Amino acid sequence: MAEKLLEIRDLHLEFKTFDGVAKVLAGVDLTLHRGDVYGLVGETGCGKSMTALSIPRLIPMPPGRITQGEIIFNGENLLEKSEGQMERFRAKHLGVIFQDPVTNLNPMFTVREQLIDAVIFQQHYGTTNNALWRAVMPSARQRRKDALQRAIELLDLVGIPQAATRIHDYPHQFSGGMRQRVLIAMALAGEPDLLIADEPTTALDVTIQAQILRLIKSLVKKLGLTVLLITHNLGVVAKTCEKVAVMYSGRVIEESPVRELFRNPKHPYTQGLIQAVPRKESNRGGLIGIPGTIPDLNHPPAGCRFHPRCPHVMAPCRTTVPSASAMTSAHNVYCHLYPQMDEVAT
Amino acid sequence: MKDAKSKQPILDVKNLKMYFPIKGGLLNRKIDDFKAVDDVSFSIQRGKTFGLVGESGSGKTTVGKCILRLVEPTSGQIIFDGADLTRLNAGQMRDQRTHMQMIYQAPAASLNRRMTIGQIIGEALWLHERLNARDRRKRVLELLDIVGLKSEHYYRYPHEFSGGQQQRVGIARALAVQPQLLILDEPTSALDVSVQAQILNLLQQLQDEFDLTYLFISHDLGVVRYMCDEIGLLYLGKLVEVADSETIFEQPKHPYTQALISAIPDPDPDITREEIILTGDIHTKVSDIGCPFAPRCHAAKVPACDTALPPLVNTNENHFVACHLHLADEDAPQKEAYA
Repeated sequence: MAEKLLEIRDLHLEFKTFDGVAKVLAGVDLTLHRGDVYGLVGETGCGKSMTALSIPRLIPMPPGRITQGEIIFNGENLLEKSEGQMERFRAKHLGVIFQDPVTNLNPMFTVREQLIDAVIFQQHYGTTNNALWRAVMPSARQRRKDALQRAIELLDLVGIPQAATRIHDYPHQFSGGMRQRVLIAMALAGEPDLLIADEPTTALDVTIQAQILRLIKSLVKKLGLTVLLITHNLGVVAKTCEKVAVMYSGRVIEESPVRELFRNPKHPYTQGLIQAVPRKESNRGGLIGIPGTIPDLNHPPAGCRFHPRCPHVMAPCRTTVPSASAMTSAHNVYCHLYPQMDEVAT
Repeated sequence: MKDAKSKQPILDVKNLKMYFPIKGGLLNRKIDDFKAVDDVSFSIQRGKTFGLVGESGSGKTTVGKCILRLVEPTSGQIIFDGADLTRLNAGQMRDQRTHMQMIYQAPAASLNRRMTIGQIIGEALWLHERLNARDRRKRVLELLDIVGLKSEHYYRYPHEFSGGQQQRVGIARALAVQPQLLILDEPTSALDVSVQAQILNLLQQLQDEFDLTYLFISHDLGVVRYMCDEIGLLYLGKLVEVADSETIFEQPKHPYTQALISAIPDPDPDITREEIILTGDIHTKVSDIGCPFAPRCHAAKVPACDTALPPLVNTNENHFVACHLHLADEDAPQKEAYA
């Protein structure tokens, strides 16, 4: 099978707050293979964005602090790199797109300026600066010219019509969907191995969402990207991803191939989440929510963090953090219902 | 559910128009209108839920605000329980608002964070009913119980609540004056799915208990299907299709409805529907004449698409569609206009 691209092992992340220490991530494990489209789902505050932002090390420290764990990318532990090495690494290997396409573009500059900056930064960052190199290196003017060419190609790639003229426009002249395409182009400038998409379609209308998801899928095929797609929308996962991990309150609680997860969800939380989505078959009064609310991260419940809301809660749930139990080779559940008793079917 | 008698609808919106002026030119005079809502007509039977669906910018919230006259509509009639709201003066309108209340999208932003929950809900009782402090407190506690909050929440402030609980407070406030019609403007779009399910169930339970009528404004078709009896689709301020919920989802006729339904990502990887991917977005330029959806339409075009505005006509048993394709291909005898 494909080689391992990214492996997150037992990642713990804390934030210092006025009310004490918030344990935002409490042991996240995640493995991405090259060519995966990997979904990370969960509700507000479950730590999915924090997991994703830990990879490029974009979390401000302090107040954040990684207390345990490692992030291995292509055999290198990212947490051991210096800030300078990390910057070079981001330029060469990572692309990130965020939820809100409005705030991530600078309204004062045209898309051309912003894209050229991205291209130059990502292509030329860290190139050696000795005399020989300077002699063969193109002049700044030539570099910008080349970068413009590349920027237009990128806009073309992400499906912006008349890229060569639209590139001179300001962000406000683009619609929401088009701005998101610009941001995708920017993320792709350095030909990254991994594209982290943090809720890329949440701010968009469904018809536009469908366009963007189709674009991401086509880019995966065309460029051989690996994508980590973060979303709260189970529909988006079902439509786009091949593998998925469900997070709850700082931990991955279930990971599985997509079809398996929807056909045969094992964790009570996953089951509740899938049932809570209104769809065709659910008739009046038939929608089942999950009672209660997500736990306070400053004082998380002991043991399995889902136990106060869980319909199947047992004694060990209150005291011990469940470890992985394998359903199939690729389907892992972190729940006390499973290791001991496989016959407790739900 | 309640029987749908042929009595008169509780709310009847006729030819509602809301034009916002576009100013410009040398003297900053009005040079054009932005037609946020353009000739929208629909009616809701008592005890039913009418869903108003559309993408951002389609004018669905503006329709809701016009009905409460929070913005003054340009023209049209809003007949609530037999009375035309557009003819009332401010004082009379204020009295009418005890019968109709609105619940907003962002629960945190619609609650005053300097007031306790008791004050927030009690304020409506003071303003509209002049209840004294003791009666107010009693009613507020009842209301908290109805929406699933506890009496100990009475003295708390909005920031102490989660999003779902804040929305419950918003619902309690709206119910305080015992309205008949609730306008729900994207009541769950800020909430997580597990909490959304709680709130949707609460709304249905309240509807059965108090015989409420809902105007449910949303962009989430899954939620609308779950909640609504009848659905109207708005596109650029115009209704393009109106029918009961089942019909809209099973036999959508307007190309926009078809595309919208096909674009909902289904939480089931085995459903492989044919996906219609629309080009462009809602702001794609429209000619003044012609169908507003024509520039993005994926269906085969007829010449009339670019030259004439398709009227909203009854194509079948109360299934109204505004599309030239359905004007042309069927030789149905009854083609009366909607409402």
